[in-house]
Amino acid sequence: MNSLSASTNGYAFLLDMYETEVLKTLAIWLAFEDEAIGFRPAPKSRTVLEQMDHQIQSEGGWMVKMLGVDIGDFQPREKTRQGYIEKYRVDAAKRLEILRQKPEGWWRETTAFFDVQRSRAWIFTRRLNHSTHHRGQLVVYLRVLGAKVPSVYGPTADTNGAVIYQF
Amino acid sequence: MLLLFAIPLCAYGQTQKPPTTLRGILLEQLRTTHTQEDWFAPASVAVADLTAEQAKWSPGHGGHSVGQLAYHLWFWDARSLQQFKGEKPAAFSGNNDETFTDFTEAQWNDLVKKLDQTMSDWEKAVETADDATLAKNASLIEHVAEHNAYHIGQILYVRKLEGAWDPSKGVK
Repeated sequence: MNSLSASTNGYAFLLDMYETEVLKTLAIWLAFEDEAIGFRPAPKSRTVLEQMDHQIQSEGGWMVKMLGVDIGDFQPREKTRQGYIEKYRVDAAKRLEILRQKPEGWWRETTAFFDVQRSRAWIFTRRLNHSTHHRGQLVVYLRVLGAKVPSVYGPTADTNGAVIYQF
Repeated sequence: MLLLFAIPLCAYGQTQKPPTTLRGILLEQLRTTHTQEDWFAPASVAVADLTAEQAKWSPGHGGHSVGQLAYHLWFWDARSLQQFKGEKPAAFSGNNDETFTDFTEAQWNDLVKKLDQTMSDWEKAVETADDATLAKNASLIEHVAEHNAYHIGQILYVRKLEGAWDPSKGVK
C-alpha cells in the first residue's frame, strides 16, 4: 500500500488531531496526584483510574477490531497512573505511525462499527469525539479536586495566560 | 458500552444513510454535538431545562458554571465561523478567561438561543461550502466539533454535580 503525504491525503487532518488529542489526554492524566486516582465526583461516576482504563480499553479495542490497527497487547503492565500514562503514550505513537501510512482511499472504505458499516474516517471522528468527551469530564474532576488544570486548547486560569503543555 | 452505541446507531441506520463523504462526515460531527441525539447528549439537550440561576452554579475551586461553559462554546463557535466565512472576527483581547467570565445570569435565555443559532449557522455553512473551501477547513470544522464534545461532557458533569440533570436524558 502506498502512503500519501499529508498534503495529498484529505484525511490527514484527523491524524494531526489524534496526535494533539493524545498529548492533551496525557497532560490531563499527569495533572492528577497519585492519591487522587480513586476519586469519583459522584457515586455513579467513574474514578480517575477507571476513566484512564476506559480510554485504554476503548481506544485499544476500536483500533484493533474496527480499524485493524494492531500494535499488540494494549494492557498496561501496572494499573497505576504512571502505568497508564506510559502505556498510552507509547501505544498511541505506534498507532499514529501505522495510520500515517494509510492512503486516502483506506479512510473512505467501510468497515464494521459494532453492528453497522461505516467508513474508517467516520469511525475515527467518533474515536476522537469519545476521547475528547471523557477528557473534558476529567477536567471537571481536576477542578472539583482543587488541582491545577494544564493548557489544553490554550491557556487556562491556572497557567497565567501562558500555554504550558506537559509533553 | 456496546449497548450505548448500538441502540442509537440502529435507530439512525433505519432512517438515514450513513455519511461517506468528507462533507457528510463533518456535518454529522456538527449535528451530533448540536441537536442530533446519538451516543452522547448534544448541546441542545445539555443546556435545556435549566434556569438562569441553575446555569450560574459552579462546582467551586474555579470550576466553570454551565452558563460559563455555554458562553465559551458560543464565543468560539461564532468566532471560528467568522474565520470559516472569511469575515473579520469581532474584537477580542485574547484573554480566554473572558470567554467564560463574561457570562452573566441575565444572559442565559438569550445565550441558549444564540448558541443554537450559531451551531445551525455552522451546519448551513458546511452544507453550502464549495469542495475546496471544505477541504481547506476540514481541520477547523473537526476542531469545532471536538471542542463542542469536550465542553458538552463538562456541562453534563457540572449539571450532575449540581443535581440539575435528568438521567433519562442520556447519561445515567
